Amino acid sequence: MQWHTGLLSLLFALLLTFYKPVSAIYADEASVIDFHLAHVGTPRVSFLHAPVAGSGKLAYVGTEKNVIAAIGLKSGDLLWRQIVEGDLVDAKASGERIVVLSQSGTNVVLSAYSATQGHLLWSSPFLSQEAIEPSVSVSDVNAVLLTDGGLVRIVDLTDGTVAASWSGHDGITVYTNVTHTTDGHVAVVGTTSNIASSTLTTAILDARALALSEILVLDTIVTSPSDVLHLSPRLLIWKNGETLEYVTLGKAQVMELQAPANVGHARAFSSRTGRSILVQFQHSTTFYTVSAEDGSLVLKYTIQNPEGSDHCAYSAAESDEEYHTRSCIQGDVGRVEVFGVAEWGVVKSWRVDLADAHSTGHFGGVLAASSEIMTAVDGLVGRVLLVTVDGSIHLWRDSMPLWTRHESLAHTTHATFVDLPDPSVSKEVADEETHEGLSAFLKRVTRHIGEVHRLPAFFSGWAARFAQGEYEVSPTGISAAIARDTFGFRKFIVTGTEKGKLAALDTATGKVVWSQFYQGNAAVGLWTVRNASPDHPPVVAVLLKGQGTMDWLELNALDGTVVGSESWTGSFGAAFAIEGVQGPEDTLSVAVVSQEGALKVFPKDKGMQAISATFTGIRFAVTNGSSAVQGFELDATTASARSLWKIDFPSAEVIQSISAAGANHVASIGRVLGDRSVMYKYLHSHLVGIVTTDASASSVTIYLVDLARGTIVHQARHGDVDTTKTVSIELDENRVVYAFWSIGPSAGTQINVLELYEHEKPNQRLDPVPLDYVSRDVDLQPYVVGQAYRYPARISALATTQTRYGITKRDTVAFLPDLNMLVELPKSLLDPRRPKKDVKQMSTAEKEEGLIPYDPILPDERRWVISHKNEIFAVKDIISGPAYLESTSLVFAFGLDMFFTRVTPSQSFDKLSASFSKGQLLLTMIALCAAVALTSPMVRRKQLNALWGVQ
Amino acid sequence: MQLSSLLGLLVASAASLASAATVQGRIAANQHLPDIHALPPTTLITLSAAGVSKKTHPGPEGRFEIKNVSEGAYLLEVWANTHIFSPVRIDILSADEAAAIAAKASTDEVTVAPEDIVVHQTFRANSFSNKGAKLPYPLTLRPSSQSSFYIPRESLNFKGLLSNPMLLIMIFMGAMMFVMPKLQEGIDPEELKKFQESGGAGAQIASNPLGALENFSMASFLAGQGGTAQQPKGPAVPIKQGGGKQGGRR
Repeated sequence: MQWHTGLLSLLFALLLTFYKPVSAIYADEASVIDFHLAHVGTPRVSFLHAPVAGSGKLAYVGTEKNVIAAIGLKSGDLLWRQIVEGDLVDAKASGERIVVLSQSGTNVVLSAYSATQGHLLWSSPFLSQEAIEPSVSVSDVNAVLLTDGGLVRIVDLTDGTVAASWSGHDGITVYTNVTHTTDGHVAVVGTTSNIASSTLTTAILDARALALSEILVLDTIVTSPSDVLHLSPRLLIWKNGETLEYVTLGKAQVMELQAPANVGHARAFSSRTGRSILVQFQHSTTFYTVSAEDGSLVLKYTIQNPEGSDHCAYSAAESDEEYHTRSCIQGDVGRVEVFGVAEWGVVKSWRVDLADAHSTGHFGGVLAASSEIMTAVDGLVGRVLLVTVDGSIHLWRDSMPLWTRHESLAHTTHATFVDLPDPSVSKEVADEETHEGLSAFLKRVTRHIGEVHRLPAFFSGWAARFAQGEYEVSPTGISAAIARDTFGFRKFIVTGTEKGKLAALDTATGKVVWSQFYQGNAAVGLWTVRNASPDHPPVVAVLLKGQGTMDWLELNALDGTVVGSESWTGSFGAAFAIEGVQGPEDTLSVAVVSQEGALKVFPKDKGMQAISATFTGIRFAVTNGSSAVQGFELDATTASARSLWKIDFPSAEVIQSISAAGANHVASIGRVLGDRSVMYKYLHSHLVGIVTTDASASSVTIYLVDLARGTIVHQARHGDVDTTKTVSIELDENRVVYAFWSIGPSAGTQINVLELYEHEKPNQRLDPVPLDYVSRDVDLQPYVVGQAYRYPARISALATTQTRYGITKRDTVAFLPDLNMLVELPKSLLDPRRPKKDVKQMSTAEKEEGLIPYDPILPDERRWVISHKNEIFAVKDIISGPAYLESTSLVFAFGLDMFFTRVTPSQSFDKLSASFSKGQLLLTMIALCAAVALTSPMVRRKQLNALWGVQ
Repeated sequence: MQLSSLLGLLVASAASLASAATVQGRIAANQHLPDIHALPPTTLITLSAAGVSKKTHPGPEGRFEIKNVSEGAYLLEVWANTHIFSPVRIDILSADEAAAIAAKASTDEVTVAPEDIVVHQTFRANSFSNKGAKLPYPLTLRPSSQSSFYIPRESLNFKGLLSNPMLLIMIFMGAMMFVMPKLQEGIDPEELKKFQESGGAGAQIASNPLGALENFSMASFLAGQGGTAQQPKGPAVPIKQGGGKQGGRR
């Protein structure tokens, strides 16, 4: 008996030496098994600027996602980026600084970043009295900031301090734009609304003596406040009825601009030096130069606009000479033209085909452009940065595409994994399965004969695989471009954005495989409705919401071709997949419910059948206002959603988030304890977690709601919570994980874990044993165990790793917005059964269950960081999908950035480690053979001697 | 009209300035961060309290400031991808509070000037009122360690393999297999016989646990039956016999 325990302790000690409590990334796998797509979003402001005088230019963009970034022009790589506080309004360059103006409500922030490195040099907040959009103008030495519709400040660019200020508030004038003038003054332009008409008011302020004083106030009558056409350091152009008028800033004389056509849709663009102006009219474009003598505008020439001139973007080229560029792109094809001012007309032009460049296409025309014209030995060279309607950025050097940044992916709201076809299961193999007996045998023999030519390739592939240890490559000898790898790590990720862009990413490369653009629509749902089979490609379905219209599209996930579609007019209420009807040939059924409760099901017949066939009915819940949840049931006969129940939470509570329903891919219905008794899990497939916050009481409440019956199964309330910071929740199997920022008694992030069981005691089940929690009429209350932990960093998104059969441990993946990291929190640490005692006091049963003593602090352990050195910005959601190997789970995080990796929560138990040395194995085998060869004569002699009775 | 509104604005801004402080500090180099420029520009400094979340980034030399901070207690943390920092507690005091503390600290001879920003060390998962050592202001923050994301792959290590005691025992036993017969040859057969007779009992005892180990059934042990039921019946007698036989043969 003593020997048994001794042996056991020896085994235990051995196990302990091999067991690593911390799983981390191997240095040789980092950036090999994962990919990171760093995005900036669709540019709101873009310009080319040299960060250091005399150096090459970089592209600077300020985007809708409130990112300021520098992009290298040669490669398209991000050099630096920063997220600014509030909404980015404007970004301007001044020497080695990039000045950014941002606003959130009445809080206006002016900040400066180093143009080379992206360091924040200073940031100055200004509290504005009203939420009027501010305006900024930047010179070499200072910035002029206009806030509150009339408060002008001169801000020192070295440290962000205010050097002087001026208030133009007279109660009726609202100033909207500010600029430095060419003679060192500051001009502010606004409108004064009188009862009868509007007056355009321009104030020229003396800014030279670091004090602002009025020099000149000019009032001119305009018809509407939006008639200011153009404000440059030299000129102000506005529309006065059917004529264009302008004034040279600092002078009082109003002049009329010679316009060749009606001025209805005129837009004006001035060159960098301000010495020439381009005015785009509806049918023509006119070029003017500024007269050196009196500053008046002289018409140089007029050219006709091409067809579809709405799809044109104009820009003044960064150049020593006066050049303007016009980029007209309709769909994916168009022209870039360079206009000279000194010479007449088009000096250079080239064709642009965005679809040609990357064979993915679908960018929806041009939105904005920035350009640079250089004089080279063989003539002019132009570089044009194009922003397309879908949100992407393209750089062309003359007729050569240099790079494309798929910034539309920064607006991703939905994503789904798509399995690739298995190359070893060909159509013939699948066909054989349908035959029986001799015919199947004959078919197999003929197939094998047909495949003999692949044999050499198979052997060479097998040998190469053995030599290199690259087991992820399948040795079939079939070179299929799009096919599953041996372990199923390679998948496609199909994404949908709020701008109507659909794109597929290949996880093997991290590149966009195909994309589609549905302008003016937003993706509101995305599902993999059919998996790949030998006969069919995998199909994804997307639900698009337009202006009062809805579109259902089914696309071949491998190449993006549309295989089915339906459009209708109506509103969007909810959309979800109907579980339990998917076979290999079947497509997944999806229900779409309008706000009025009208039901649509795809595919129609099968989906309706599925709804009727479900014994308990299909139920779902939507938020109704800010503090109520309403449950519905689908009714196939009337094709509508019927209201079933409504839960009104206390009126002070505001619903923050609703988790997805739990209990999927359950491998085990119980948790085995150390003494081999079982705690039965409370596996309720219609359970959702609802988070509400109460700002007045500083509390957060978690409700676990039974969707089918509309009852609250469990609730947990926490006080001293900062309700202004994110509360995240994740529900998986019988486990709820949620995180919030606690303010007392200790400040920091608190993670709570709840586990739901059927009964308090092991080996006890609910009586009677529930086959289906839904169909029961009595409340089935779970037994809930919970524990709380402190984590150093804030958490803004949670997910659980999913594997093929769900046997592998389920770790929690969290996004840390302050650190821009994704971490994998081990389940063994987020385990509410962790005993609150010392290791020595733990019972044998607790030790055998593998429990770790409770510690309230989860460390800032950087080896849990699955995104390692990458900085992942602004992740909104994390999805997880299974690989073909049970040990491995694929994790994809998206938001502004995208990050894909694979994790092995229970270590890679079903795959040889990359460090496995085949040489060592061979050596051991050879050594053993040698030992046997050496000892066998000895043994033989000894046996012979023993038979003869010789010593 | 214009003047009055201007005055109003100035008064408003003055009022907001009076109640708001600016927290200044810098991140400094130490052995974990030899070069301050190695700190990424995206490093984030957060100042948090109930309903407050102010953020800034360090400048190229590691300096930072957070403006418009009103009175209260705050948690200041530094977040860098490359380094780990410890949190500090910042108290922005009102003029009265500052004067009261200064008066308390003043002795008869020395008068202490009132300070309005007080910095203390704080500890995670401890009560926020549990202040640690007082730190100087303006703040100087240094990383407590570097991030290490990766673990190295374990490769074949002959030295490590040879220092494994199990392997050493195996090698020793292998060597003994060759050496023992040689040793036995040198001993007088009569002496050996004597020795075997006298030491036989001891050898049997020594062989007994090994026999127990041979007969130990892992499957039945794991099935919860344990060795107790089998042991008294099973191994003892046959092993003894077997052992005696072998001894006799030799």
